[in-house]
Amino acid sequence: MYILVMGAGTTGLPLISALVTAGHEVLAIDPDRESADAVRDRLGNIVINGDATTSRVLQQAGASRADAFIATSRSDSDNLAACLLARHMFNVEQTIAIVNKQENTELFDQSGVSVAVSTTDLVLSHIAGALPAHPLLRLMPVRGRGLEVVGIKVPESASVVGRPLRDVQIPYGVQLALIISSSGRTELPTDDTVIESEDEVIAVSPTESTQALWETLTELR
Amino acid sequence: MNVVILGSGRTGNALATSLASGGHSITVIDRDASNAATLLSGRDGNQQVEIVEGDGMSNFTLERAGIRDADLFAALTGEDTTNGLAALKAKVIYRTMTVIAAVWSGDLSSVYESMGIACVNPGRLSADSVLANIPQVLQDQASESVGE
Repeated sequence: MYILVMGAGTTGLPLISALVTAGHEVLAIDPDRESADAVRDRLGNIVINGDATTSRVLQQAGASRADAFIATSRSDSDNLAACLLARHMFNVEQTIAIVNKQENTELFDQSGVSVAVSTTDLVLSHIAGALPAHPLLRLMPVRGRGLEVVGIKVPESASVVGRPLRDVQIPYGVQLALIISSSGRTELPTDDTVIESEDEVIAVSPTESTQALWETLTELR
Repeated sequence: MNVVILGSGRTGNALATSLASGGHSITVIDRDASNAATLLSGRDGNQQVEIVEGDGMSNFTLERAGIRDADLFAALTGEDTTNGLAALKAKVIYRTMTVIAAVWSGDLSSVYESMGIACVNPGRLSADSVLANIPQVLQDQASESVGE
């Protein structure tokens, strides 16, 4: 694949390096001369010293034949502008952006950026798995369908512990997919399945119902 | 009409003053409230102008400025992509009816326009009004010499 990466900073540079190692054709674009030089020193002449929010530079980078455009600068507004230019003017199919400020993720999604990655969300999703105090894990959004795959850990003293699923009020639209016990045993949930403490429940949930599902499964006795 | 203006530079302040004198309720957002101070001190007819200090791209600041009840949002800072992000947020997230952004780059203008933002190019507008003040005779001479 031919991939353009905007920004060769702390996020961009290791990403560029990894993509090159994976065998992709990569071109980096960075307006900062030192960052551009850093790419050239490490990986060779695969960098343009310029502003990716201009169509002149995107054209120079051969954006019209790029399979993907990845924006990693520290400015959300520049990342959004460049992704939109790449998509609207150069028909780049996959536009991917690092979202520096988590609240902007929704705007990126709704503006047609293919994938918006919030670093805060990434960190949270890792921390959440390790912290019993945050037993909701958003595992994966199901794009364009308003659904997400979530993992919810049932606390030891939750009111659902010891009850069969038929007695548990699961929010409308939620599909329980799998139950993983604390010992690692997996079970496909049926009406007869009894929830035990420390179970991890994997579910496909409409995003607006996730909170209600979490409350149902974690409400304490 | 409720108006939120981002950017208290010359354009933003001039627009705020005009609209306020027309009786509209205006809120101006700027990173530095002192830029907007002239709006308050200038004339006593400007009680309708409120100033909010903060980052106009953040939900918090936009909401504090009353974006949810705004009929018009105008992003008039000197930065194209800042204006673009704030304007798209007003349009897409807060569903503001009329959204205007100052954008110098023609390429970015056409992208933002396709997403429902009315873009104005301050450079183009100034040049056009300068042109309009050059006597026709001089313009004709100029185009002749270009043709040679």
